[in-house]
Amino acid sequence: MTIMRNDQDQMSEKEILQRILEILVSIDQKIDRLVPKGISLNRTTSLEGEKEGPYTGLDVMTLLSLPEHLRTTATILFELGTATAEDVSRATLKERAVESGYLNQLVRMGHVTKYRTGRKVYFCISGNKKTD
Amino acid sequence: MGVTVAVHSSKGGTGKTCISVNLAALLALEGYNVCLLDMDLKAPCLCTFFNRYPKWWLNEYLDGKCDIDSILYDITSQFGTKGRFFIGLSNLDIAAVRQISNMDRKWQAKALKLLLEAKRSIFMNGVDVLILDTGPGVEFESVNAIAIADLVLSVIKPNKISYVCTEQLVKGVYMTLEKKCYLVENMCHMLSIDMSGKKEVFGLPVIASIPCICDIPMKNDTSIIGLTDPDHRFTVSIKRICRTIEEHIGKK
Ligand SMILES: Nc1ncnc2c1ncn2[C@@H]1O[C@H](COP(=O)(O)OP(=O)(O)OP(=O)(O)O)[C@@H](O)[C@H]1O
Ligand SMILES: [Mg+2]
Repeated sequence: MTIMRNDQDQMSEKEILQRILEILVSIDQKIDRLVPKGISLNRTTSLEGEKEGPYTGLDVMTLLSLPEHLRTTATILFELGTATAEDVSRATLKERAVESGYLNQLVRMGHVTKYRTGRKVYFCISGNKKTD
Repeated sequence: MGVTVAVHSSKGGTGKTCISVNLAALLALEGYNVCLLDMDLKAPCLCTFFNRYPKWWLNEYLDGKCDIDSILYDITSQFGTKGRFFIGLSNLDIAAVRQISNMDRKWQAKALKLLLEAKRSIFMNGVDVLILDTGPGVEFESVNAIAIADLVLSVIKPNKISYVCTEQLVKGVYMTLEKKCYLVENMCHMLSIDMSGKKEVFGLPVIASIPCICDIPMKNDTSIIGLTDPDHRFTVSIKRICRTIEEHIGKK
């Protein structure tokens, strides 16, 4: 296969995949560094004032209506309290990158809050005391 | 960690409370430390059963007004069980019940988290089995209880309505929340006793078939039949359920 070449010789398929993985991991780490320290990403300011924002959190009826993959991730996060994508992936036996994707989807839906401490990005169900 | 058992059913009046109380008492009698919580906040009855009207209820805990220890009562000495026997009661006062009925999703989401915290704290204090007596159907409080449970005992009456409704719960709640689930057939005809332990319904094991016996309501009204009548058919059936729960205590 001649998809990718470097100066001297052809890279094997395995080497290409390895290189892609390294790049993805480094992009992932850079994105993580963009997450503000200790501040939740999805804290939206409502027009009616800051006291009562829109409903965030995850109630059990909403949990029941989530697609299976997100439900599994959210359930594990409930049990763990606060966790990194890696912690969750260890429990679900899925790839860290996959879990990271699911967790970020839950963040966009408002059910999960994401914050950074040092170099690590943590997730927890929104409304958890620990994020404050 | 201990094991959490939610006793639930699709329809009301299947015997959940009667079974929960007896399971708790018999496990405590055998030496397990047990905690029984009244998760039927819309129609609480454990306070009446145990004749206790405390200052702090589960309602206050779920409202974030106190910690879990302040709503748990040690009733070990009252029943003389070998293991410790704790209860957490819900307020039957109509104002309290109305308040619960008005709670929104946000409150229920917080309640779920508080229940998870309560469970951790209860097990840290040495409890082996946490039993949750729930209300029937898909009420928020009941589904919250199921969500924090390791095992669900779904009590089913031997009739078409109960089977059809339970099947919906199995598919749409128990399995969706990935719970280990057992069926308990209650109030069945004497003839079906032989089938207990062998039958499977909706792919779930039926771990006991309890016959309908007229003296149960009277004998379990102010005292616990499992403690007063150790050889009663009902007691024998509850002991069988205890064995299944016991298997899970070892596993966790
Ligand atoms: N096997 C049985 N035979 C006869 N009566 C029974 C049997 N099991 C329970 N009962 C009686 O049936 C009545 C209803 O039981 P119980 O209150 O435990 O049901 P429940 O499922 O908790 O009801 P609810 O849905 O209202 O909470 C009680 O009087 C109880 O003593
Ligand atoms: Mg009841």
